[in-house]
Amino acid sequence: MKKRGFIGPLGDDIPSIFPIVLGIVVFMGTIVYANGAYNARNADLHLRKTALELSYMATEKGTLSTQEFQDLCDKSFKPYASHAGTNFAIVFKRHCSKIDLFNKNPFYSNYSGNAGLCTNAAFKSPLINSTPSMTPDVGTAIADEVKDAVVLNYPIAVNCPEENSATLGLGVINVIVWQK
Amino acid sequence: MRGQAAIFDGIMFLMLVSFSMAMVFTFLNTYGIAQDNVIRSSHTLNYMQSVMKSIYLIDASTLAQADSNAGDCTKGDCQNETGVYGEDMNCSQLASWQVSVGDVVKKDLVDGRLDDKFGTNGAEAPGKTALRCLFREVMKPFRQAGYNYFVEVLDPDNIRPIQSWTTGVTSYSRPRAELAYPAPWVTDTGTGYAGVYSCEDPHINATALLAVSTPFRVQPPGKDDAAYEKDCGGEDTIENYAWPKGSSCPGPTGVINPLGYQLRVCVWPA
Repeated sequence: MKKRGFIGPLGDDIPSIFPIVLGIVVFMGTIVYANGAYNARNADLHLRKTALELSYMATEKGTLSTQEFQDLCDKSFKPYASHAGTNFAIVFKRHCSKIDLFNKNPFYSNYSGNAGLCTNAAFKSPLINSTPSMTPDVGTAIADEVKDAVVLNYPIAVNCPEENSATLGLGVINVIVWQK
Repeated sequence: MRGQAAIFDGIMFLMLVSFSMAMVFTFLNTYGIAQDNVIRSSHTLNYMQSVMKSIYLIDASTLAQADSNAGDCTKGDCQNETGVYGEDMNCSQLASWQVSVGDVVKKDLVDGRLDDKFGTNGAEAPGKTALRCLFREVMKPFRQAGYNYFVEVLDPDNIRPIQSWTTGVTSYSRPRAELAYPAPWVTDTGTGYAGVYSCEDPHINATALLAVSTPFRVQPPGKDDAAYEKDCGGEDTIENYAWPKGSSCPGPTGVINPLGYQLRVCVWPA
């Protein structure tokens, strides 16, 4: 005896398969998207926390000499960034009479006189190196090579007008952190 | 009937999926906001700490070139901010002050007023100018990020700005502010916030305001200082709250302890 309209135990559920498959696809897509967004947010927070920790170390005393900066670089900045698994560059600028933030790029301003650079990254540009006597465009060069970086800027007192001067003047610390 | 039931199952499943998606997106929208706020506040606090340290460390004479009309735009050094700070901040007068900005401010504040001089007709002590020139420089990154700032001194007895102080009056007093703490203020608000006289000013959106205070101890004049004699003689030389604790006319006796002023910096989105 044949039942009317009955096309088998699976065939009878064919109309429901479309919304079920659609639901599964959309749900899986949502989970994948959410996972990506969650990881991206965590990575961003991690970068910013690392930048903040590095800036705490750099600004703790409120004043730095080039030698103190290099000591901090070797004993604090590099080990911490290595532990955190991030790239970083800390640029130490001596401005003295006025902070030159309005000319060229406002976040990677040029600087006058000697400064310091501490980084664990390998830059393509030969202009960037870790010697104290950097060329004036180092900040801009770092900006050109780094993508999606967290940048924090802080004022700091530096010996002015030269490293051996007894007077303290205006300086700036740029903390730049980005993913490896 | 079976076909209809199956479609109903499918639609129910879709609804369940929609509900789950809504929950996932709600979580994503709120996740990290608290951490984000904490990190922002930490950065602001660290910045303010750096600024306050710079007050004690930076030599006032190095700020002599930090004027609102500094730089020559035709030579690629455009730092003109006369629209924000006025035509002349008079930073050049700091050239001979080879002490820290904090020392100049304390010298200015001995009489209880931040007005660039000691007493009403007294000696030059450009504490306010030094503070304005310093803040013009050290707040540049923050200003570029879209914030305004205001700096004021809180009196030693109450957590109130000295420009608001009036005997027996506890609320903010604009006339008193204009008298006790004459313009220009230590701020970048310029023409945009011409009516701002304090961090407590109602022109500022208080919900977005962040204020940081730091202790700023100032030693009152010695007990034989002529300022006390003048003050008791009728001249308005030293504000009441700037007198040493427990002393009265004709002058203090015994040990004079420093007064616990506070410097307060407030920032808010422009």
